[in-house]
Amino acid sequence: MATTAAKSKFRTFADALARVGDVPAARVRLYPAPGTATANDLLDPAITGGRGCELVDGILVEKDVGARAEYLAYWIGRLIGRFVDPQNLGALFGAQGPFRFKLDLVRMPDVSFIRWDSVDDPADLEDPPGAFIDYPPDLAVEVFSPGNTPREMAIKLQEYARAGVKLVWYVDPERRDVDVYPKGRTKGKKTFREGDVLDGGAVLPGFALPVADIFKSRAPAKKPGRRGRK
Amino acid sequence: MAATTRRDRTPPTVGDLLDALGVPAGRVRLDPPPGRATERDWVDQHVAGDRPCELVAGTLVEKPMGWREGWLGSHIFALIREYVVRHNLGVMVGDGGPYRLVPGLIRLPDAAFVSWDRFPDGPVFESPERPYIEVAPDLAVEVISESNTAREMGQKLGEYFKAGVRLVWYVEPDRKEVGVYTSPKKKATVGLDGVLDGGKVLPGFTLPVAAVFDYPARPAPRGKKRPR
Repeated sequence: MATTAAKSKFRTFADALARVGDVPAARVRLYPAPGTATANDLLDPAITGGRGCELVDGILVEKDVGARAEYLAYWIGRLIGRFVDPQNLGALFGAQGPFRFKLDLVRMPDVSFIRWDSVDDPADLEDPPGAFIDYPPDLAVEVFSPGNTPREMAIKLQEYARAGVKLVWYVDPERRDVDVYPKGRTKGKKTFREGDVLDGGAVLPGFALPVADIFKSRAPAKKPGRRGRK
Repeated sequence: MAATTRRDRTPPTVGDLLDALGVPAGRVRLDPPPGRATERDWVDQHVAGDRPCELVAGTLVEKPMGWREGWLGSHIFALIREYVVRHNLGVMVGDGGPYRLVPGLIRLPDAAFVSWDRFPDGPVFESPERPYIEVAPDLAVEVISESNTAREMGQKLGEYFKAGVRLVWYVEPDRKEVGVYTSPKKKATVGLDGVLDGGKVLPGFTLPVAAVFDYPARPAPRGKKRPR
């Protein structure tokens, strides 16, 4: 841990919280002081508490967790995998895949995918030389959980755009739709609802996923004679 | 409580600190890093900084400022000061006077009275060593602003009495009343029809609360319509 305290670029806590989209203050780590954390701090469980944190402009922000969002994200990952794996198109990462966009900017999309042919050395994806993936994902998927603020998600989108992410999906479990942002830009935003079929653009050519498949319940009916758990 | 168990296991968050201080995020400074600010840092910021700050739990916390609160603070200061000077009881200082209550804790009451007893050798006015004094006032007056939370003011109260303050007045501009404390838990609320009493701190001093909130009014215009 650094002994000399770096100077924060933010004057007050309010300034730091605004930078991360005014997420609840309980999701922002106090140490190192917001604005002074580094990517290495993400690797220290004493600092992160072993919880999934992102690094935004030197601010450690805990990812909002929710069982529903996690369930959907893993399901979407498997749906993408069904298409990607037979052709061996690239590498898929789950919610703990840390992408380093800048020295003080590390994001972990809920699901991300990089084509083998997007990087110089595909081996860097399978076994990165450091703790972080220093390439932007081709596809970043975020599943909203109740604690996410709209401002937080808008800021994240801008960062994806700047980092060179080719395709961003924002999955909203409540509205049961998917907002698609080509290159992370709001300009090309398209909303896919149940009844629509999501495509993979140039990242996943030929991919077709009915939005209904994402949200439809797969849970079988309750077994008769058993009491439901509270 | 679920929140407590969670806190026990996870490193502290910004939310924890803001809860503990009871202060809005916009008033908590990030440089020096919270928890690490020293009296030296406070002096540096006091000399070069743009806003008055207090030092609490190793953190620089900005004092809220307001014009109405400023008027009330200086008005009540003037009312008390007149009595203090007339009877030569000690020193009365306004909102520019910082007090180091205990090591690492510097507070800036809006007005404060320090009796002569607290300065065995008299106060240093010629070339003071520091911008604060290491003496607790006898009476501290705070004018409550919108951004002051009950938690913040409750904590401050505890600190004042622990450091030796004997009387605290919390002036509430919205409710037009004054909370009078002789200990962190002993509170009397004095309304517009009541009178503040200096008690043992300022023996013989009385101040009607109506006089505290006696906002100045512009004189009626002298015109033709005004009957002579």
